[in-house]
Amino acid sequence: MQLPLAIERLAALMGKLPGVGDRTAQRLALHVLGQPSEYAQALAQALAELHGAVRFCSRCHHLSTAALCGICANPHRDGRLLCVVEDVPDLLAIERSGEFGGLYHVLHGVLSPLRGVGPRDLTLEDLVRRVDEEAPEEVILATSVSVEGEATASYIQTLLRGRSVRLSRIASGVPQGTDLEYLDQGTLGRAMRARQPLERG
Amino acid sequence: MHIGRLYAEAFRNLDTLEWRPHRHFNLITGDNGQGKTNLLEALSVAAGLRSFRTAKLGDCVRFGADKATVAVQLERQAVRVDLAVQFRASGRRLFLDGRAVSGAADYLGRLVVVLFVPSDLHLPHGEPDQRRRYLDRVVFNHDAAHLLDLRQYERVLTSRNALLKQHKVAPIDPQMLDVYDVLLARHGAVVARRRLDVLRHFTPQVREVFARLAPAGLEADLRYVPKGFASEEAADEATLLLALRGQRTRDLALGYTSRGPHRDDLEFVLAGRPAHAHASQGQSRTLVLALKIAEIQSLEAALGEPPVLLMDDVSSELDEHRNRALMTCIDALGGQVFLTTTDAAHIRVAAPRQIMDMRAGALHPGPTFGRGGQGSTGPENELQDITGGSE
Ligand SMILES: [Zn+2]
Repeated sequence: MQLPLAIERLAALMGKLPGVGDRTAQRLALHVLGQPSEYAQALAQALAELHGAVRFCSRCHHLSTAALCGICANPHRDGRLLCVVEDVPDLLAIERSGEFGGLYHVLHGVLSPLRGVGPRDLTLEDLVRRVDEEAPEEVILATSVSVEGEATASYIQTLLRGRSVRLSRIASGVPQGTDLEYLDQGTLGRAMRARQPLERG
Repeated sequence: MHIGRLYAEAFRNLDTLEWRPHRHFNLITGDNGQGKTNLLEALSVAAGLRSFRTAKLGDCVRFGADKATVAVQLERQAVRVDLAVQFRASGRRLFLDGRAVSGAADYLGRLVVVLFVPSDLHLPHGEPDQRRRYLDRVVFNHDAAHLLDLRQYERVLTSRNALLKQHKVAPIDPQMLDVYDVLLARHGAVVARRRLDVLRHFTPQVREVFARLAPAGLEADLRYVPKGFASEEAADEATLLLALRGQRTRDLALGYTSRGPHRDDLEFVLAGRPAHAHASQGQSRTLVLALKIAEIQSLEAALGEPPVLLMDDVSSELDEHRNRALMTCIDALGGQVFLTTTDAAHIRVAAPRQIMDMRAGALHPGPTFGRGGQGSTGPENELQDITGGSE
């Protein structure tokens, strides 16, 4: 079936989104076309402004509109607790669980020799600097319960060796290979509460 | 347990298949290359999500199709479960009673199969990796969690090997290697511990079955031989970690990991000596037969019911005496068996049965053997009296 180039082009771009196959992409493109043209314009504008309007928090690397994100700027958050997460969806999942009132540090990835991701590709230097400057009492390693998440947590443990900060890992009741994002709030809440202290290496 | 229904679609050369196998004995006849082994492979994939012929499940998708499906209706102690796996080159989806399940942990361990293929007969003389795969299959059948632990271990191992290879291009952060040493030791100890645990009760059973089959006085044994250290330390995390650290310079030069359960061996011992060097062909066949019978019996004891047997044309490889021992065991078991053969004259069991003929990927009610005088009947051969579908 031949469609006008404008639709094919939009479908091709939609098809690059995660979880969207070719046929869904085509359906989405046709759906946008079927809406009043204001919708397409609003969508285009939102997309165009996305990169200019969003940046990373200078402290924790969470998404933000200002230099500091809403969490870092909130004086009621407990600066004694620092929770290290892989990415933004994990941070949002922990926030939803309502079990954590401290601050975060977003790594934006995990160490993975198989995918060529090394320590320098993550925000690890900033993490070490924050631990030295902010002197939190506890760093909670909430990377996923996968081989890569485990490796990243161990690596951070090595990096923070010799500092007086207490280290802990979210509870191992989380099934292997689960993304935190997909855990229900109760399970994630329990995993946070039942976090295990790690030995100081 | 038994399979009440099998459905396969786009699995290798098989036509879309919907089949109600016999509760006990299913004999699948046909010439080579018609798809008999593919049928057994489909069943073993449904059980363990791994093929005994290829490391990549995607290889089982029929050429030109984008995905393959295998579904079985499993009856286990009067409880019915529908298992289905759908896979393509990029991944797989699992279904339990029609609902998608996210993790293999929920799926595995329900259908338990014991596989017997001709290449098993080379186990005593073959390569260590063949014996490791065999051992891991035995362990998996006793504890399905073993497969998940193995996958974790393999992921750690390939990650560590990737690091070692990167080092050949540009020096890597030694702390990264420290981390992977610790992980490899931790996951490796879990894998080795499970292997040793299963061997502890499995080995005496093999010894006992072998003694029944072999000439009086000949004894068999199994020995777990870890690469680089003593066998009682195979599952010791600290020992493995030390071994990895000790081998680091060498591993960096090799570009791969030279210690760990992926290098361990299961040694077969006959009359106190390694079977690979000293056993005759007949002795090592008896040993393999003993392994299989012991596995079936130990699983029956552990599960409280016989596992499903998949046998791929092994009878033609065994002599009269060993064949009879195998058939007697199958008869006594009373479980469900799927057995392929090019020559039905080898198959002598008293169990009620169904005979199917595989031709160009399609199953037809049998029997069609006996052409060209192949299926000449002896007194024990009742096959031709009973045509398919006696349920
Ligand atoms: Zn922030």
